[in-house]
Amino acid sequence: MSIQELWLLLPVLIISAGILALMLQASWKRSCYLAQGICLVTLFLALAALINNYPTDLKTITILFEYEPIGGFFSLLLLMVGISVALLQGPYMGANSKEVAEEFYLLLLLSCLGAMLLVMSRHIGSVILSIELMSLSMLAILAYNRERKLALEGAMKYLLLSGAATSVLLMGFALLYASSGQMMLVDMLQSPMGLMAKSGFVLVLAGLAFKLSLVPLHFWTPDVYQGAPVNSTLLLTTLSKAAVFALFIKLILLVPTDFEADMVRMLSWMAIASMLLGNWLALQQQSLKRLMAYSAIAHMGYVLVAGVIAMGIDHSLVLEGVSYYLLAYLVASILIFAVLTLLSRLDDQQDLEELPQLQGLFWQHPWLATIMTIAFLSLAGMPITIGFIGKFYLLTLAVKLSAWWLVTTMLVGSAVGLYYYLRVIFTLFAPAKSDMPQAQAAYLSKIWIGLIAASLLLLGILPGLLGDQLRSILSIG
Amino acid sequence: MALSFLIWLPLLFGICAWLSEKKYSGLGNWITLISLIGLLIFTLYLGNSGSSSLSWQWFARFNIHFALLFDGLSLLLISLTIALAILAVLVSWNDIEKHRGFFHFNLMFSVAGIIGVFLAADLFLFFLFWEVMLLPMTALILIWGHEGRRYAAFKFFIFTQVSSLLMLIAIIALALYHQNQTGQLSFNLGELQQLVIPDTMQFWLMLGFFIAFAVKLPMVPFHSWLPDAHTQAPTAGSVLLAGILLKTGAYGLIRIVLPLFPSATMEFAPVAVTLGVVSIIYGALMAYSQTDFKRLVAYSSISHMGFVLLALFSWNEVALQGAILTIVAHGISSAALFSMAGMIQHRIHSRELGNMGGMWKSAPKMATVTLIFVMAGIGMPGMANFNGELFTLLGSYQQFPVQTIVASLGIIGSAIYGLHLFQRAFQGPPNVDVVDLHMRELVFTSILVAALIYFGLQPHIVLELSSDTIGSLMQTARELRP
Repeated sequence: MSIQELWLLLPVLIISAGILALMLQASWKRSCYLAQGICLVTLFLALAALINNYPTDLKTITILFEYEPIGGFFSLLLLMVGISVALLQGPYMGANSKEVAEEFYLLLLLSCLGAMLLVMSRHIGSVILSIELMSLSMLAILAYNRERKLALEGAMKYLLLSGAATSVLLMGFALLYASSGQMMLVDMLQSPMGLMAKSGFVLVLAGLAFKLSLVPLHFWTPDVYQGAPVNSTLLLTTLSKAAVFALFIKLILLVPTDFEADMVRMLSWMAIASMLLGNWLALQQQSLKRLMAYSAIAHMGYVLVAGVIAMGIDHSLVLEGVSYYLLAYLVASILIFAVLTLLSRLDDQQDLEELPQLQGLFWQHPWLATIMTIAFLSLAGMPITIGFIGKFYLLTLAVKLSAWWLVTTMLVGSAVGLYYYLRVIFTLFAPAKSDMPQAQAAYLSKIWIGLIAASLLLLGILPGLLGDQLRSILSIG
Repeated sequence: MALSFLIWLPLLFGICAWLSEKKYSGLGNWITLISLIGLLIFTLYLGNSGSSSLSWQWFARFNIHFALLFDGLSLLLISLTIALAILAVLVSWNDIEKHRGFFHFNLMFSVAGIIGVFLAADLFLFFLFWEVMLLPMTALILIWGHEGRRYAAFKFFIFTQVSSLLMLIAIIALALYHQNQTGQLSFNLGELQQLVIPDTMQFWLMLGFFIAFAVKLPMVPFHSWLPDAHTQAPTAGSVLLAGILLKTGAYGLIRIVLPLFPSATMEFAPVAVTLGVVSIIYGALMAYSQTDFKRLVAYSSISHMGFVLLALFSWNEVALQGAILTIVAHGISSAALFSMAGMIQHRIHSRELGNMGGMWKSAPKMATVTLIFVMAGIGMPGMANFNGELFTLLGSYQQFPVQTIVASLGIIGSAIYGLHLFQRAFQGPPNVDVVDLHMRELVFTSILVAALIYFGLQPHIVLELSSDTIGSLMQTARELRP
């Protein structure tokens, strides 16, 4: 490994160094402020390093990793998520929580590390290692409040099912290896694909679809989302989805032509089922976390549409669409969960998540409610929010390919989705019922949230700011 | 540049009104009122210097521009919008009890959105404004509406939103077809008009747009959101909804559906015209059977907008003129009736006709004004609505004689429900004592009366403003229908 390669790995190395520093700090002097500070500094340094040498072409780093624009863009998203979670954990925990603070930041950095390595992976070994690094540290985060029964239950479910999914993934890779004799992702999928290779690839996709909670592998999602402390749910619904999707789309782009028709059929059905079922089951949810879980299922279905289309036409627009849509989804999710986090406390038995508890939020905390409203409007795909531009990309792609089934499902899904997003928004504007204490101070977190909310509107009103650049950001050379 | 101020300024003043209402109660009313009057003058000034346009690069990846076009038709409808917004402010001067600052913000926000719809010359931009104007309107219904407001707001939002998704698909398909033909995506209305689209495709695209506009118009069977939304909305909301929002549907048909898809439109015309006639008759019948003042007026709107649909799809010069006259006249007269309903509700806290009756005795001025509005609504000669209906029937008889004969029955229907309304509310034995019109109310109602009579006697002003649009539509028609 040359100095050049180490230099490319700099963001990852910074995070690793941050993890070590945090461990040292925890053994030397326990302080939640210090830990948060170290975590944030690490993430911001990594962000700076990533932006500073943003990849413009494909460079390989040993046989395990590669450094290329798509991974770079997704790493930016992942770091944005990591910073948000780190900033929100402070007010969520409070200064004297029953749980220790340092380990959360440690686990957060570990899962960020795993996610960033995952988007850079080009080898079976690195995929498995980084996906497990991400999932296992996330598992501990999900059960961070040990006194919440639901959290423990959810984490247990996640552990078992995620373990099963990983073994499916491994099995798939094993079959692919057996048929091709290759361990690099690029070489593994060779045409013509035999039955063994095909089934191996399907198993790999199934393992990833579990992490993305695509129907029919979605059953764990609502329980885990509901049980986990709200800040951990945020991490689960953003970090792992974005990182896994990056790998997913990479694999899909590698599908050889003779397997394309089958893949299109399979993924179309998954996308259609996810959009319909996710939106349908979200309709009557009273718990916002469950609602967001089903909405996540539906939104992953929407992005999958782009994945399906990726096999059909010009890749540049597909990648732009996927990136924009995921960015929109991440931004909206961060904002919604951030508002919930600011209204809840880790030490309580329950987070503030039931819809009636949020009634009249607008009249008590207008800023928080405004942020939540625009975030939900963005998820619903209303214009002047970034969500609309994401939807516009996907619809353009689907219409371009004349995939009318997908278009119809997207329309039906959006229509159903409107209802429950609107239900939440209407609740926020109903007459106020009870007092809702929000986290005091925490100015840094609030400024950050404000920045993200502003970018949600800015990129919705002036889509050209990012949209015109995306092509050059994402393309090689 | 100055053109885009028409969109930014209402937003800006709305925020001002919101903030200042927090400091000094009552100031919001004045700020909104004065800024709206200023905007009206500004619009007329802009209109004075002829039509203008503007185009800025906006989203280069898809070749989308921030393009506005301001011509006679836009001038007409924007002036109507602002005038009715002024009416909405005046009529709810003391009506709004809670969150008054936010109310003014929403009012101005929706005005900005509606003006945007009337100005947009790029379909992407058009769609954006089309959706955005929904948000403040839904908020108006949801927060300041009457007892069933939640349900009404849901229904309003979901109906319009879902139908506009179809329009979005049609817009995208149209732009992609342009790319297919010329190598470049385009959302620009002018450029898209140059396209020659094959018939089947034209039909489907037309249908996507048509459904979105028919829901807004509204046309039976997509009308069911309207009675709820109009009835539950606060008075200001009803005024804007009936006066302007319905007209955006008609405007869309005139600006987009007819010029872009002429042959599909002509093929589809018998169906659309029949649905329009069904709306006319159905609206009139339903209006007659209502006991709720606002609901009655709401159904009468469905009936009147049926005339617009009939006229537009008949597509000849007289009928198109009739459509535009009806748009203006119905905007004024229905807004006037809704503000009367609001004033009555403010006094007796009920919209039920059963709780009214004999109000002429205690409130003669109010009764006289209402009588004039009702007469305008049923199309008495000399008032604005008469011209619209007459032109519509005259024009469409040449194309669709059978449907037009049936449609003319709607005029009889309107006389029946109109007189029924007036009789039950104001005549008969006195049931309630109400306070007669105040000075403020008297001022704006008399302006409305004057406007109705003025446009009734001088329809050529409206016709001159819209002559360019109608002229170019007729040009298209002549090419297709020798």
